[in-house]
Amino acid sequence: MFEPVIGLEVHLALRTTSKLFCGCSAEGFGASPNENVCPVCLGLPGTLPVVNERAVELALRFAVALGCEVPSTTYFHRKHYFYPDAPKNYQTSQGDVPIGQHGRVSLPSGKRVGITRCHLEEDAGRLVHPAYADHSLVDLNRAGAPLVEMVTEPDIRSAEEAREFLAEIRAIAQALGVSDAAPEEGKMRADVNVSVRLPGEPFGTKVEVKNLNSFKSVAAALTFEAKRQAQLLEGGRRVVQETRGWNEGGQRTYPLRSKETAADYRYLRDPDIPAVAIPDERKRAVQASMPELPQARLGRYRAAGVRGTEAAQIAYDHAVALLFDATVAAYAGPAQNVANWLTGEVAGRANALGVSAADTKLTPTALARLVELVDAGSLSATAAKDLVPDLLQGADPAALVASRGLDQVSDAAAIETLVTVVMEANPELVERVRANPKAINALLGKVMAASQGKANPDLARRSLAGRLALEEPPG
Amino acid sequence: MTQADDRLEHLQRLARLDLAPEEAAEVAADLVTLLDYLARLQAADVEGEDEWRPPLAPAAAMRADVLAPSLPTALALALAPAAKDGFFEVPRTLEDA
Repeated sequence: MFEPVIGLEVHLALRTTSKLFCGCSAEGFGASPNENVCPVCLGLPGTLPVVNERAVELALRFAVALGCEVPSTTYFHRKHYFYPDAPKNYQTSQGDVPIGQHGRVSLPSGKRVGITRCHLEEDAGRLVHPAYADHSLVDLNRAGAPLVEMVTEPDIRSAEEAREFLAEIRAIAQALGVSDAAPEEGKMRADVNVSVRLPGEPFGTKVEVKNLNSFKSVAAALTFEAKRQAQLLEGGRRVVQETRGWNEGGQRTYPLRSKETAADYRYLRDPDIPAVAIPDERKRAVQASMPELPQARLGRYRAAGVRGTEAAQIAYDHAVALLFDATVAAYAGPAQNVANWLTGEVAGRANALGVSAADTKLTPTALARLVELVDAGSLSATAAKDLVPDLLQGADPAALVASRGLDQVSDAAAIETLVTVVMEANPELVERVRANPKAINALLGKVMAASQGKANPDLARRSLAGRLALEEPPG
Repeated sequence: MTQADDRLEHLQRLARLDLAPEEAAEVAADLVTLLDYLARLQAADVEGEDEWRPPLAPAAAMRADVLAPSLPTALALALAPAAKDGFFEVPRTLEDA
């Protein structure tokens, strides 16, 4: 049985205001075509690129977080190729002395993945290919925007591991503030290198699949490509070293015509850009100011008693984790209760709106108060769920409870009265429940309806069971 | 086909050029002159010389991460041979699936 051998190249858009070498906006998302271009990023003659110090800082932070060795001086290189998305006819990147090398990332599963290198480079423009036209269209808003690219060792052995690795990288980049790492906005893209071999054998011939824009595409492309290569070998044929593209509609890879090799790129140190010094004290300062990374956060949540699934779901979404931490700080009760609401009803309602809970107007205090009202038995879980959409709009739960009269009735005498009224009004139903205690829910439903949903359902069930002299309130 | 022809074809593909036969002959001749010259450079004795490195940037040689005005789109596009709907227009480049 063949096993895949996988290496990943991940590009992250750095969270800067301006481009890597000029003052044009780095946020191309939502802008009109060619709105953010200037003589520098258009590569016009006589212009001089000047390095954005924030981009260097972010790339440095990322390299340190990945456990990379950072050189005392780092250089920019020109990588030459001719394509309309590269207006200078080269991409400014980093060659032999990148900002980080020889790092490693440990995944929650215990798997360790070596990081070959990570470097700063500029993004290319965007090409549009109108249907049936003889031309393509070029938007250079992204051209020159800063990216950090990281390349792994061929340490990954399955599509599932690749997915786990990408989730880790995304969470690290978000926790560091290095990148939004949002694949859906093109801010996180991956190329994969994959070969297959029989376990223990040397690596096979590798194929590169480029431009994968979601974790799902990465997993699907890896699965497809490993199977394709295994079938070639099983049929006595050979794998050709090549670059392939990913057809999302057909869920298959296909050969690309590009045949550039490293030598064709004619890497040379960019004579227009001075080298960047990274003194030891700067590295130490970055190390000292490292924020809590996702795995440490996961460990902290587990230690606070949050169950694995919810803890991971929250810890690996930086913005949601910040909301969770602030809510727990404002809440008097077990953190698991907040986790249940945040990953359950709140996440569900936010998803239905197409956003993350962290992108709504939900405040930590409002969520803490909601959970406390339910804990105290003064609001039923059902009524609380109905309030969540309003909370996402910024509403205060206590005010909603008061204005809608939702306070749960936990007064035993009041519930007894309701039960009496319902039993007297429904004698046939009472007989049925006496014959078949499992039918108690029908009667309970009547009590809840009579209370307009405000009766505490546990108390009502107990009261009914007691009045009907049933042994145990059925679950 | 000679080695020089192979090389020229490879360079044409990388540079996305499509030379007419008479142009190709001219460029091939130039290429030989260029490569001969580069071979002389490569033969120079540089033993003990340091590799060229760009000078180190003083801190002031970097930019703060702030916006500066971009070019008006119309002006940027006016520099191009063809433009359409705010985009630069180029010969079709799509590699079909």
